[in-house]
Amino acid sequence: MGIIDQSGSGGNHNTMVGQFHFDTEQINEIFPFYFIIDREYKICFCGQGLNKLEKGRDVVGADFRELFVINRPRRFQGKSAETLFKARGEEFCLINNTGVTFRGQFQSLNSGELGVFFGGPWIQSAEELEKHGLTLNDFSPSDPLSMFLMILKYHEIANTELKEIQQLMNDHQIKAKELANLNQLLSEQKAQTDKARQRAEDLATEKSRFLSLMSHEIRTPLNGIIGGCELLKNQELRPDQVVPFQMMEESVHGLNNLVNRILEFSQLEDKAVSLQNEEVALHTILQSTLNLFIRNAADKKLALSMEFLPGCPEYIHIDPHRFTQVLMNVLENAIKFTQRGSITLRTEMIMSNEARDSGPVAMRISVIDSGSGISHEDRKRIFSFFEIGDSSNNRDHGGIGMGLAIVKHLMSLMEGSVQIESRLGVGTQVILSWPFGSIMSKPMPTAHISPSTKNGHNTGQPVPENAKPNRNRILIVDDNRINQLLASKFLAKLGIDYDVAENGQIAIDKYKSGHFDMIFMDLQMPVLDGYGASLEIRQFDKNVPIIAISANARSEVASQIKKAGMNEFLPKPVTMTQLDELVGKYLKSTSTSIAN
Amino acid sequence: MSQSHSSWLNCRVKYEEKIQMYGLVNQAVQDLVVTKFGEKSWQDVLERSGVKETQFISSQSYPDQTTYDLATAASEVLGISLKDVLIAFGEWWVLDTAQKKYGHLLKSGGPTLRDFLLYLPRFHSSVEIIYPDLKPPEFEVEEAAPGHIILHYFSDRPGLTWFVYGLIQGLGAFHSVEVTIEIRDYKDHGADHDVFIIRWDQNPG
Repeated sequence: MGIIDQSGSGGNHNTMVGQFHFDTEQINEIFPFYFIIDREYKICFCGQGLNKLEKGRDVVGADFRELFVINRPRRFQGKSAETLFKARGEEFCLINNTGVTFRGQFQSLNSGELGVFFGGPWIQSAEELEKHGLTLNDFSPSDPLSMFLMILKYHEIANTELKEIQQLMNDHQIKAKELANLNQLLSEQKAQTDKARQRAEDLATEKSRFLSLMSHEIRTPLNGIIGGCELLKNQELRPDQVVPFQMMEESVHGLNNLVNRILEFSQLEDKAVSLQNEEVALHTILQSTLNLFIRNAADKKLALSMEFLPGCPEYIHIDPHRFTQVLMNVLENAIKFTQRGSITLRTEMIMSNEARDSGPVAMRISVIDSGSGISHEDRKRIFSFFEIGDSSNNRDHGGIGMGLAIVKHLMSLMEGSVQIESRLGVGTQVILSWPFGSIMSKPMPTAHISPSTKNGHNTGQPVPENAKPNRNRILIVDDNRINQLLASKFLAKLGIDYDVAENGQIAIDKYKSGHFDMIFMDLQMPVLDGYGASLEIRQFDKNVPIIAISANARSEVASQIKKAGMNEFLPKPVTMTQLDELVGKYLKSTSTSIAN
Repeated sequence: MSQSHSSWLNCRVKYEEKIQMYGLVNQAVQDLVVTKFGEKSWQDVLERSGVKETQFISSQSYPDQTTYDLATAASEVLGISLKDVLIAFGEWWVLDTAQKKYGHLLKSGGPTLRDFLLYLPRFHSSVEIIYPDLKPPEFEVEEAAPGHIILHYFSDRPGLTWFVYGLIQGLGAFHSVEVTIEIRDYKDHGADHDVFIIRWDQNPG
């Protein structure tokens, strides 16, 4: 038990515990909130912390009971001070009149004359500390309060972050759910899209099949009408028949043109066009294409000419059918929209500006007309399907606006380009260009014509002009009676013998038993079609020219006839001129040309 | 390369992953870069540092190397010297991070700069007792005269002298006094520990 000097609270008073001595300053440092009371509850000493907490109020001299209430243990409430002094080992909770809880214990001093309370305020937050005007420095280092407050703060921070993380996780879960829903929606939409695509593909196939059928079904009667016109044209008509005949002829050619355009459009739309890259004699194909328009130009009194400028190649690599198709579209337009003057088909090579020695960079074919010209506005849309230069109801020319759109598509397919230069009232120049590398071929062998090798039959290759003997015989294979009649009339006109087979099987039988120099083979026939018949004939004769003639003008036919071993494809309607050219190309003959 | 940067890098070579840093420190680096330079800059800093974490948890411990890598990358990406990055980071720590995270606890260190600095040693002792792995630094404070304190900084972590410098500047600003700081002894230059001489006007205005 120690002894305390009661001379005051601020001095250097000694307290003795056993053999150790503490002065009040030391006790103050260890228990800054201590206080000593006498038996009358009067506070005799107190630490600096308690003074600070009471904010300058005189603590020393005050009655303990005015400052504190004993909260626990409650059994000491209202008891004498000596009772408190004797309660060693009891944990006391006191509450001061500002609501601060003090934890600590009482010890008896000076044989029970005095009692000391060792303890301090139990603060639960930094905010509360601040509220009571205290800082952590007011507490003894041995007081765990500062650490307690820090632990609380760290837990508070951790809890806050935990809540933030939970919120983040919740947000993620919500987003994950939203994504799952979106995914589900996308899956459903994809399924619908797949279904729609499948439906579209089915429809496209159906459309393609329908077009093929319609093409065949329309071309077959057209063939008959056009052929009939051809035959009539070579007969003398009564004066009153001339105009109706011309009306009929123009109408049927117009209808044929329309059918061709629709078919081309549908093929381009289906992306069903495949190119056959072949070595083509450039001048020949240009001239023969131009020749097709000689009569149309003459009818309108237009001068039609061809310029084949020096440096142009003899041969190019290109799809001859598509190449011709493009030229025909452009020439046809030029004639249609030119009322007077001329139309020129010019072919030239474009040299590089930078390096003239490096050779040509492009081939350019221009169709130059002296027509009405195309306005700037019309030039912007003229390459779109169903756009026509003059869309007014009273325009001068017919057509459904597909020609140049088809040209643009085909040029793109052939790695070329098309552009238009035009001045209203002066004329138009349609320029078709191909990069030189894409069309240039190796030099053509000079001798690519072989003599007949078997049974006097042709080799299937074109023959030279000076080697054409007379009286050839051609087998016409067609199930359509009008077509048979037409072909036979044409051949008769050309002075060529012929026989007719109604289907592929009859054709094989007749060919085996007879002698034919050439076969005109329809493709779609009962019993055995043209493909099957050609394959069979090629088993025993590799050379006889077989020309496929069909109303089915779909582009895939070209590759199919090649597979079947046929030499060439001629789409219906067929003109006598075409037949004459074919005969001249493949047979040794002195047949009478229709030109004569 | 500046002297401080060179020392820093040397220290990084010697410094292994034994000591861990509070995630709150890395959060503060992130906050500083995002607030002052934008999210894009922070993403650049993260990428350049090679640090894989994209978020830091304040009460979780991270290798010190993470903090060093972030500070070095911030210096390189933002085109600011490492010294200035560390000073800015120290000020930011006091004026933003500590206020946001600790709030009143920061004030409970003392109502004045003097009181707070005097309490600094005990504050860090408490941290170490609560989180023994974190190895917070030790401080020793000598009050030479009113408005004149000598602060001794002991740390196993190298290269953080300018960070402490920034912290002191931030504490001065927090208590609305303008401090002048002189580094009397510099550990990276061979001293036993860093010693800061801190002065401020007791009666400003």
